[in-house]
Amino acid sequence: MTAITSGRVTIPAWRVVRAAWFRNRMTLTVLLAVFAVAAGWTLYEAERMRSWLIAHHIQQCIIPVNGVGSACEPLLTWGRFSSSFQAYYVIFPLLGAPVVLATFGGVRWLTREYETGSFRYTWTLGVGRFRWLAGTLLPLLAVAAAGAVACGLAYDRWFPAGQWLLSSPPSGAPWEWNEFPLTPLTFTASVLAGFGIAVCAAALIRRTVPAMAATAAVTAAGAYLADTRLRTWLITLHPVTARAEYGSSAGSPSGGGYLLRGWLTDHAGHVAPGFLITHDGGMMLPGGQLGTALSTGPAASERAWLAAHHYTYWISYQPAGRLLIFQASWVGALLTVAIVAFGLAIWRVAGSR
Amino acid sequence: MNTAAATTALGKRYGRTWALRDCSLSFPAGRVTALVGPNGAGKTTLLTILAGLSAPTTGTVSVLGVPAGSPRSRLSVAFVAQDTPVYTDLRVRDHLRVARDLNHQWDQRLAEERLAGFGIPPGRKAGKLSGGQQAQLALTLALARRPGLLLLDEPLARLDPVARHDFLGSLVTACYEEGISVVFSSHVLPEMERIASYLIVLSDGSIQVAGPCDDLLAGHRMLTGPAGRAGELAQRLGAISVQDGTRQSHLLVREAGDPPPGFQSREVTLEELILAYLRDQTATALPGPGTLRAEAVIS
Repeated sequence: MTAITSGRVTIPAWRVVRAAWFRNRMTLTVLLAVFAVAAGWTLYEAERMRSWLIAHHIQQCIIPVNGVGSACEPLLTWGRFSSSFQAYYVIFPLLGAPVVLATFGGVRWLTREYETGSFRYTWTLGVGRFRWLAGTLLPLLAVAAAGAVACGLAYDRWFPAGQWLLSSPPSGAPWEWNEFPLTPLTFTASVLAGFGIAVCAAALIRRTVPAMAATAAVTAAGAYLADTRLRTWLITLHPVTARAEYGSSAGSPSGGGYLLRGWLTDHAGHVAPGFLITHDGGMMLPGGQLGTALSTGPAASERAWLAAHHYTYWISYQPAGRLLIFQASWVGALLTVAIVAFGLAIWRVAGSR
Repeated sequence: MNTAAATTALGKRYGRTWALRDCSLSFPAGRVTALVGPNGAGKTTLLTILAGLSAPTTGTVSVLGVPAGSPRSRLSVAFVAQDTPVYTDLRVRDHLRVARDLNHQWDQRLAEERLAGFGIPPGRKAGKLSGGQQAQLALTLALARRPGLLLLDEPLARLDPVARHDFLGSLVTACYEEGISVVFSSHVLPEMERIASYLIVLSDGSIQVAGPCDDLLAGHRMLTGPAGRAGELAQRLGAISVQDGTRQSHLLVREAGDPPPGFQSREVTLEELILAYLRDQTATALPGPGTLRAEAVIS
């Protein structure tokens, strides 16, 4: 039998990656352009807001705040700032980006090989399917990660001023649903998980439109669950409980901590029924004397009344320092999803002979 | 016989359906093997297994002495699939560039000269090429890899007669100049006859005919004689096909000495032979002692 005598059988990885880059450079360029536009728009809005605040001599509110300083009161009461800028022009595109980019930028990466039949050419070349897929996905992941980091950094620039549009009063750090997934770390993890799901759907379904529909559904559901289940679960883990001053900035966690809830106890240490301060600053008041006393204001009078009637105000909160831990945990969960999804896709492609 | 590829008791099942069953074959090295069969006979399945795109359910396959689909086999096997898929959005020169990066052996000069010879502009996107040019591009990409074994799955299907002629001419030239072994599946029988020196007919997932074309042709005769006697003769001579007209009868039989009285014997063409076996899928022409000098056997 005629036999193969050549010794070396492995093509260097950089050549596979270079071929993948070259083969897909148009798609990658478009993807980069989309990320660049998103990051550019976020930066543009950030600078516009900063200029506005500087022009109105309240630039000290641009930094993460320790509660609501008196200098920043105008931002909450004027309404001019919130009517001049729209947070959701920035927030919604960024929140939707992982779903949209994965659906339209990730699925066709594989399905076009199946639909055009070119996989029968590609997979019979000098590289195996595993190395071909890994080499092909590497430029995609590099571009997606770089673009996501750029968007996250732009959001970091936007947030100190933009937080005044998102919550009232702002906590000074991105704890809420519309803030938490947009930092450089979390946004990158979201994008990578989205692309992982897209590539996995493409490998399993093999047809563009059904795989796009599946990707959109799974990534959207995943984003919803990541917020309503994972984030809300994480930020309620082991809260710190402390006495606080009711109705003042000292009654909120300091330095970007996150208020989970506030409540009152009476002279015997029993929780006052019907009273609750929620994480978003909402207040539930009981009926009767206590409710009447706390609905008349001003805050100083209310505090005096509470002291006179031996009420103590308590809060439970997450210190600012834990935000990074929670974000890292959240990122870890999403990166696990991404790794499993990419692994499944590679197993499906490389193993389906 | 020096072999380019061999299968032993090869079987491939998709769900509950066997696409190939018990196929033991040897593909001769340095020759063009024609793979023929009706739709669904298992030709594409056999080629994709040889190319390493799919794995057999049963049996073994070796290509140039190593298991099909192994990294070593990918070095020396080139596959041009049905409809000659290329990247329609990629320019011709970019195809060469990508292929060069993804292969160990790559003959850029051969690729460029072949494409120039067919007047294929390097700056044009593959999707803008004609069907014939796309097929030539796919064949060029395969040949520039300097393969030891070239597998072609119905590459003529989309080509007009001129493009078909050019494609086969260039294929034969490349094979004889480079000494490449070729396995070629097609429904276009006249073209097969032009280039094939070894024939395999697949039917319903099993081997029906296997052997060198010259031996197969030498082992069969076409008998032509008066009408009315075909039935009796067919039974006596074990005819593979019978055409009993109003004036004449034609019987394709295995070599059986002198023709019966009133009948004339002549050589058969490869097309007649293939058609005869395709019409009667119970007939086989497989190697046996003292008959055909092929190496195929059926279990």
